Amino acid sequence: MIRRLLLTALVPALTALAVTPVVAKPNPAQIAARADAILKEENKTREFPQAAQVDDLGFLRRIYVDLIGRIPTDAEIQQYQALPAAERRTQTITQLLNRNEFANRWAVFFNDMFRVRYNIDGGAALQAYVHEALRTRVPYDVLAKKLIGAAGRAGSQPETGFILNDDADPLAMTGVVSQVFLGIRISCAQCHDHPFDVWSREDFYDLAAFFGKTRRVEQRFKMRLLGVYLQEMQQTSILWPPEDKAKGKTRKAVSPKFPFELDATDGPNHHVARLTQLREELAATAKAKQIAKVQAANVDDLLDDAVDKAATKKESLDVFAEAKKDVRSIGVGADMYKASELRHALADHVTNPLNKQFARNIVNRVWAQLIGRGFVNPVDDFRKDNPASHPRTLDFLAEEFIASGYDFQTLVQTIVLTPQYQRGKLTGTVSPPDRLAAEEAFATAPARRMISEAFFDSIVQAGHLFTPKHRPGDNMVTVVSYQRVAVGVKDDPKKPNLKPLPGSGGQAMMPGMNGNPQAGVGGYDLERGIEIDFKKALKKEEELAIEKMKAVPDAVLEAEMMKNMPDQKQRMRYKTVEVRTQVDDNPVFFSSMKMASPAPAGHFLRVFGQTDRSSLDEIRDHSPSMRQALMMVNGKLTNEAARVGPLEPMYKLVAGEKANLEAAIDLAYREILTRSPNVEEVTEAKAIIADAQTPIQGMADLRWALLNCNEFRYLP
Amino acid sequence: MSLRSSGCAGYNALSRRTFLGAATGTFLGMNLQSLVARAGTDFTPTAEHVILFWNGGGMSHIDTFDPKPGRPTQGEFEPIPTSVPGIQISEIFPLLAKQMKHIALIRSIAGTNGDHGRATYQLRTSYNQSANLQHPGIGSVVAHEKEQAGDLPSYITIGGLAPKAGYLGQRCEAYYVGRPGDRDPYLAFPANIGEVRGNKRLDILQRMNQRQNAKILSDDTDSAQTALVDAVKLMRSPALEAFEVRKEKPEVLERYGDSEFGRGALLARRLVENGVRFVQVNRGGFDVHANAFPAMRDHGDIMDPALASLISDLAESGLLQKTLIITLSEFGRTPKINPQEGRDHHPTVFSCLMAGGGVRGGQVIGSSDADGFAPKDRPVKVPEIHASICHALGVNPNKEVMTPLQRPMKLVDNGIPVKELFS
Repeated sequence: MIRRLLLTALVPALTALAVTPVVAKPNPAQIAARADAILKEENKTREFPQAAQVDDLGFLRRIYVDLIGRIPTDAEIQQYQALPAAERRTQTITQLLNRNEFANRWAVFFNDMFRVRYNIDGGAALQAYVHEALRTRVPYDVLAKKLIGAAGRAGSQPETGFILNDDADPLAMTGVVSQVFLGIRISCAQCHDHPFDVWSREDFYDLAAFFGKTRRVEQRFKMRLLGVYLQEMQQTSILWPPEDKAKGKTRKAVSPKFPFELDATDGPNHHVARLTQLREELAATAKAKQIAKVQAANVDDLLDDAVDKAATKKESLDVFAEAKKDVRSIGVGADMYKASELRHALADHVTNPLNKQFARNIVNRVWAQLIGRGFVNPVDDFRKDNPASHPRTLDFLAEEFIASGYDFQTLVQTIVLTPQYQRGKLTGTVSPPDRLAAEEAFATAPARRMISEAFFDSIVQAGHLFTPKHRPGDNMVTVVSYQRVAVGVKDDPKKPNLKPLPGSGGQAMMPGMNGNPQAGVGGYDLERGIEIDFKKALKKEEELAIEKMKAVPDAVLEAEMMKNMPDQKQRMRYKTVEVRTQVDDNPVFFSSMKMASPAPAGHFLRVFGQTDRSSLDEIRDHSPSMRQALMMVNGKLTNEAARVGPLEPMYKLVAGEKANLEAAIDLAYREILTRSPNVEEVTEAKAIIADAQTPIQGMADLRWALLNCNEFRYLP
Repeated sequence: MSLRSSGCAGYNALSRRTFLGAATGTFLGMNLQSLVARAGTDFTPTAEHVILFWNGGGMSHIDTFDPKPGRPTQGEFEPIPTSVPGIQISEIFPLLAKQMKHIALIRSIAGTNGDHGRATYQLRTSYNQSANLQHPGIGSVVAHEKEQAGDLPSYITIGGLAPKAGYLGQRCEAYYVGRPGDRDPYLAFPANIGEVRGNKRLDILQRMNQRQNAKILSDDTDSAQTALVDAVKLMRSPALEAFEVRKEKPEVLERYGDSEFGRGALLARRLVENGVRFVQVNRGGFDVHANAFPAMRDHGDIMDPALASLISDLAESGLLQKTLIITLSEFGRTPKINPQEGRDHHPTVFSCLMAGGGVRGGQVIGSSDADGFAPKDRPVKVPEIHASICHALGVNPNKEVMTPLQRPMKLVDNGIPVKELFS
């Protein structure tokens, strides 16, 4: 149907322009319908049981968790149910795609994919950058280009974090770029010809040569670490033959070559031509906007602008400009900011519209994330021996993604509009082989657990813990902690020693490897985290820092540095003391989506599957564990979420004069499981509440069980 | 979503251990015991537990177990005699010196990685880091090979990270204890939930799950139930008492040194007494690029009473024969003292301490050259240490297990046990 639509649109367009074929832009619903048609054709050779579509509320829960990373509130359920039945789903999808929370949720997906780690050089800035790119709809190919081609200072140039991740090691980056952006595991070919695939060591070295001149460099200024830079050298480090094969032979510099095959021509639906046309249109619109802006600007604006500029100039011209010059002349001079021509070339190859694999990879990853199973599994292992289950569907979606200008939101929208995404579950007795066949044909929704961040945020949401739900002073508790305090000087007459440098000795237990904040934490802290201020993380601090340092006399700088050096005191004697403090424990949790990630080892998010993103083969493990059970049964989050607070709507339904137990039970089910209870469940809930010391406690027990049950953590 | 369901064993129906065992049996085609027997003649393994002290940052060998008196590289410390004639260690360990008859020192570890991350990886796993495979730490290997004994988890790490279990699966991951002596809040119902109410909640949950599981259609719901049962069993276990280090008599706490490390060593002892197979006690602060000597003196103050008391307590109770104690660090420090009075990274040669678990005490294996720069006699490769740990436990370090991508991997990276340890 769509094809016909496209063709009819083609004819008048060709006459009008006659240069590039102009075609109508199919909307996501049309693409989804066409993908479904192709997939059905591809399923013709398969036999499998077919599940019905997921019911309306099941869909609502699923789409909220998948698009914005948490379950809907009762108010959101009501809004949804108030919409006309035929438009509910599509309208909700559109609405959710435009929320900031969409960027929060999908930044997690990209953080996993790009292995973003806040604690490496520029890691926090990269985490913020990825989030911002999603929020402002930076096309996916542009994002990829920036990450592959970045140069400059970690933090100030957030994109550099991607390559600095692996210390800019050319061989590591070769594996990373092919696996992350193309879903191809070429890294085995680093040491030997690929055992399961066509890649040879020469292919690997050809690709590695694009990274051959890239280095991670630390720059210091007046003995201070100024920053870590991603920088280009004159010489490549990639030589052939490899060290182990050289045997005395001269090793020659390898010239870079992109080893992956590109499409020879545009596709049957002209996706490349459509992309070209789209880009021309966008460029024209942007230009028009710019002209309009200049014409519309009034005199006041222009004057304000000039005053601002003058003010900045006056204050900082000398210091600022000079400092900048200094930065540039440090070490290797002009090379400091030199962009990587080689990596730019690589980025162009990777994101070339004729390199369909680039689009296939992301389509497959997003499909797998949303549906629970990719066309190719594992998602980063495309190879001849591991073919896609529905190659034509995958290619069609990939081509449409290219034609959309690599627009990520459109891709997600398309996928969630497919009947495959909206499948329910098989009912009745289903044999495991039948279930697998249905899952492989995308005819049923596979069991899928919420990702740890969504699970965390959903508990917070269901438990009304984003804001305080108790009155101030209602929850005073005594907290006992142990602290080491100095009680005297060590009697060491012969050796008046220095106090060790912070981090070079002392009493603290190891905070992970060499000061790595990946270290675990203790107590209920395992359910908290550090929130990153994304705006601050993206601030360009380099020039400010230099400016400050230039302005300070050397003597002051030195004194400041001495402060960090050991003082001339003798070694102290310590004693452990018990400290008791009174605190008002009125818990509030913030969204886990913006926590510095990955979370520390042992943290709730890690226990439920977030990886530490250190190696390329990390994949979220969604299998149950004892630690998960302990955390849910005894953790602070679940227990506080279950407790009923006077400031939440539930309270009046349970405790007030107008208490209405049935309404309260209904609300508990809606807030936690996004559905109303059935008769059996109502009876059970009443019994639970009656059995407790107070109805408030009974409601907490019911909510605790609902938060802990499997239906809560597995998507409908 | 289980895209790599074959890899993430967790609580899956098919016992990973059985599966891997079967795979290995056919691969090797011979009896494992015979291989172990071949590695060391006339050796009957006695070790059942391991306590690993991880000294993060790279512990100086010259200032601890390999003193170089009279050399320019000596540094501030003098060597002191030990209870074994002819063996001297640094003055920062006066109490440990008295336990020398139980201790074997290796002074010739020949490392190759000078970077914290890569060196830590190898010293903990025996393998060099690779881009596409996560190797399991030695603790996970032990947890994988030795059956759980008692209610407590087989593998517990205290005060820091343990390496990951990699392809050995989630069940071989370490159980994490933040600070020794602190109550782990996750091992009991929250303060405001009494025993009766807590158990009632568990009953409600059980009923709900049974009703729902048919709808969820997941292979994982059974294992979620097993995980929950295991969790409740652990919560109710009297063995949890082992974590209550502060219940020890004040004089015992004092004897281990009033420090987190001391309490860590004490906790390790209590855990081993309760059947835990592998305990890792973590401590950092050895990366002394500046002011190395005062820092090392403080380290001595903290480590000496803890290690010495642990060895003597275990020796007294007879558990030392069954418990291998080992201290490891990612590398040593440069013999040369830098202008900041510090020492830098030095993987070329460094030392470790082993005691108990069938290791013959009172000996030094290998040596470094006059300045402590490079191995002189009997260089010991890093995987030989891990192979020795396996050997002490009667585990064949060359046993192969399958990775998720069906690649056979040895438990230890081609290590041969250091036979002198067990002679």
